[in-house]
Amino acid sequence: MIIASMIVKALPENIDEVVLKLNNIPNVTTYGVHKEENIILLIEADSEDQLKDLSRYINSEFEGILGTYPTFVASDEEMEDVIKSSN
Amino acid sequence: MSLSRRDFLRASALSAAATTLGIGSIFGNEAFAKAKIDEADFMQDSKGVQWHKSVCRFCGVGCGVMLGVKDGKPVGIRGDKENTVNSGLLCVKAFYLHQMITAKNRLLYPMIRKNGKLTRATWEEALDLVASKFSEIRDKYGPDALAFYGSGQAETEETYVANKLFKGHIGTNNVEGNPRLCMASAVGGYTTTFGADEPIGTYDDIEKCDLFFIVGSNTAEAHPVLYDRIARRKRQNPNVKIVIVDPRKTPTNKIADLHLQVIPGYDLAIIHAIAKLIIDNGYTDEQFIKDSVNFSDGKNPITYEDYKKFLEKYTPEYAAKQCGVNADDIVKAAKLFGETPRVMTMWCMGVNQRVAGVFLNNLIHNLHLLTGKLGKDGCDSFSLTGQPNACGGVREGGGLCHLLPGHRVVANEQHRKEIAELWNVPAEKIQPKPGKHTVAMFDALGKGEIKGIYILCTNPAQSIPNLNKYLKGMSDAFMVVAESFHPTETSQVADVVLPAAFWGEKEGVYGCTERRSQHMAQALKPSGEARWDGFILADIAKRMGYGNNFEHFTSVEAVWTEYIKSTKGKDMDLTGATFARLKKVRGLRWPVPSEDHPGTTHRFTDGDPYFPKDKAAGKRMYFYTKPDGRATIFARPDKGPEEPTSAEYPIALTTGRIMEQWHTMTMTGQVPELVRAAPNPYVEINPEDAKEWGVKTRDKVRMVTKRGSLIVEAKVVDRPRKGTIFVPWHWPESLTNILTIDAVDPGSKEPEYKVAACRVEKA
Amino acid sequence: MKKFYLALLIIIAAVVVSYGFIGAQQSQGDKHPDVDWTLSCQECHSEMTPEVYKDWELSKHGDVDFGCYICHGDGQEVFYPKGTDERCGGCHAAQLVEFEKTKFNSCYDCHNGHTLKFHNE
Ligand code: SF4
Repeated sequence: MIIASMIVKALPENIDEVVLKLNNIPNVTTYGVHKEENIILLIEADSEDQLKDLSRYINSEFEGILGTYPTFVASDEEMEDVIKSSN
Repeated sequence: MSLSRRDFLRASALSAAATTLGIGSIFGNEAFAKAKIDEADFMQDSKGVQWHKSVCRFCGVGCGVMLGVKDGKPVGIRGDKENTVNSGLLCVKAFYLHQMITAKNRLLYPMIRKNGKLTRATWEEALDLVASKFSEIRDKYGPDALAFYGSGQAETEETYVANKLFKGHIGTNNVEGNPRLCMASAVGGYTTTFGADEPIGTYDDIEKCDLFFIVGSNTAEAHPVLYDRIARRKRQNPNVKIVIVDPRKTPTNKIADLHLQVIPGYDLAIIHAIAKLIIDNGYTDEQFIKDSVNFSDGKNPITYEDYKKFLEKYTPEYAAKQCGVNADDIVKAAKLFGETPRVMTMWCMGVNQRVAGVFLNNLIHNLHLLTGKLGKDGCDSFSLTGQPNACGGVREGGGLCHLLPGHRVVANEQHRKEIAELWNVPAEKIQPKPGKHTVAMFDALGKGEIKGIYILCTNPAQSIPNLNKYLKGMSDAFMVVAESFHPTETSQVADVVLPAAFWGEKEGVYGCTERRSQHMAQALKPSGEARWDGFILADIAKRMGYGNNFEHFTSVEAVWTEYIKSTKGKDMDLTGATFARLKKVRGLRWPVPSEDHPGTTHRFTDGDPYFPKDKAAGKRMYFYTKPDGRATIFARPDKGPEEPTSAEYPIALTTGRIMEQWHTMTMTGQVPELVRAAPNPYVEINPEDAKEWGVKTRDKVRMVTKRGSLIVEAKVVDRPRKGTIFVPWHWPESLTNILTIDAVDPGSKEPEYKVAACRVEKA
Repeated sequence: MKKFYLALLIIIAAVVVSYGFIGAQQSQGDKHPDVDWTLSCQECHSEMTPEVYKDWELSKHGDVDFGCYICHGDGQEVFYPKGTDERCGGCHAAQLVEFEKTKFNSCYDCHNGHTLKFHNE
């Protein structure tokens, strides 16, 4: 399981529509619109390939999107290290 | 520290995105919560502080609060993060609750007036005096010469014991409480429209609502944590709209999309105009109207067509002229109401404290009935409560002169029988005629018709309207005041003052705005000689010869257990909310008919345990508290205020609260921090008026009404509309209620604190 | 990748706050100057320290009108020249965390006292 977050920038005019459509994609959750044009997305993908596919899809298939900006990627396995190093 | 990996990752992912955008941690808190202090640690921390689960002592939002105790002393307060009402967040008042427990003005021993002076007495002396005086008055002048005046801040158990003593044993229905001054019109609205008191939905609807229609409520200051939930909903979903109808610009305006700044007392026409526009533009839910709605002119049934005809006069232009707003804005508001699928209306004292209070409540319900925006996610006609237990203790517990416990009324023979049986008294003991409502009660004190009164946990010598008229009656009568604090305006003129255990020193149940009953733990021993109000009342009952029926009240739980029996099978069934269960959970929302029932989010529809599927026969909502299952849309006249402005008194005076203070400052006035926020009494004056009158901020001005006059500092600020002034009523040294009018709504008997005519001059 | 996680943990720790609000009235030595105490904090500070006032006004606390007193006390009877973590935790109980288990000592390590934003923004 891979968990990633990204910021999707969209034109304020169509942002609501974009949010609706994004929410319809399986494994994708939106977390509100911020500062007018930024949508925060959480993606939970089975594999890195699926994540790439999803990102590409969002980037190219959607109208009104100005850009996508990945902010975080991690897999379950790496998580082990994080917990150990933080304790 | 337990930590689900995936939650941690999700939280980290969201946090990273949020930080990139520079928006901090407005979400993801829940995910983080899992990575934090676990429950056991939370309740007993490493510094040796034991945390107890409770509920805020102030407003009707009902936030979960934890009281920290170390070595038998209150040391801190924090929000209860497990409580879904506030998820750990608190407003400024609750933050200082622990300081109020040990405040300097705590009353620590009983006092009796001797030779005109209150002097220390023993409990024996004090209770004997009260019992013998009350018995004497009862025997000499009859039971109706006695009265009880309670509070929406008393626990349900306390109100229950008082009700049982006065209505069931002494035999008078002169049992009232300060919710008469704040919620009675909401009760009137709910019972006439839907057949039963209290909202249909819950706070859960906030997170699903797309239009908040806020009428006569300064939510940001009066219900801050609720406001935060609304603001957050809007922040996360910019499509959410907020429309406000209020004579003042208040801090709530920060989130408003549209503000209809009405002339105080004239907003009924607006609601009618919106109803008309909803019908004219086809925004109605015709199926819902056909299935679940009746029409009435207040006396007789009318038809839908009659109602439409009635509305003809209420064009936006007519309403705009009546209310002093733009017709376009009314059209905009109606369009938003009609087109937004999920709408919640919220209102508070601006609607209730009016001579047309019940009417206005009805009209608000009309909008939701016309559009069917009721009984489903994100929709409700949702009244906000001022006090923490007005709903639970007084409305549900039957602490008003026409009510009996469990949403019953004294006028109903069957209801009297049921309660008499529970109380183990003959049914004739409970009078069928309602007692004296609050204003009439204090009037009767002045006239000598009521000779003895027991006042619990409230301060009428500051809070009732047109004070000058009633103060003398209070000092003349034999007045007993049970309070945690002294002196208050009321305790000062009492004959006997009894020290009551305060919040944290007693356990009990509060029921908040959303039908949620919550248990408050006892974390401390009562200060000084203070005792629990329930025990004090039971003791007086015993001394008056009614001991048998109060003997078993040896604990708060015993009272609660008897009380919830009265709710069995009623629309407000609390049978499943046993004391033991309430101690564990963060409240339960009735109806909750059994211990395995989770509580109810929407009434009168699927999911309500009392929703009669057979009778409903496919209808989405069935109002089973009405004989035919239909709620009523009322064609009510657009009644104005009792005292319109005139040449002599050209300014509309309206009163209210500020965020940092609570009612008469008995508690919040003890906290230096809260006092600092607004150290002096003041009046808000519109800049245009101020210019005309030659008044600047901090100048002294005199306000004069037909009833009295008062001098305070001016605060020139663009909040009240021109021609209106706003005066907070907190400061005991400056009794705002000398100015207010004691005219009441003919249905709810709630006084019109929100509108009086006055004159302002430079002092 | 490790570095990235470290940065992340810093962010997370910034969100969380220490152990609850213990209302111990510890004084921090300094006294608030003696002023006209009939004024509210805001009335005076909007003129005397306009920049700080502006920061506060635009912050979330300013937005909901939670005044200076909430972190600093009333100035006269209780005064905290600097805010204390204990006070933060009272209202923000959902953010409570044990600092010992983080690399931080105070809420204010990361949150600016008046804007309430992260320092690095
Ligand atoms: S919003 Fe009301 S219930 Fe919640 S903390 Fe403030 S006063 Fe108490």
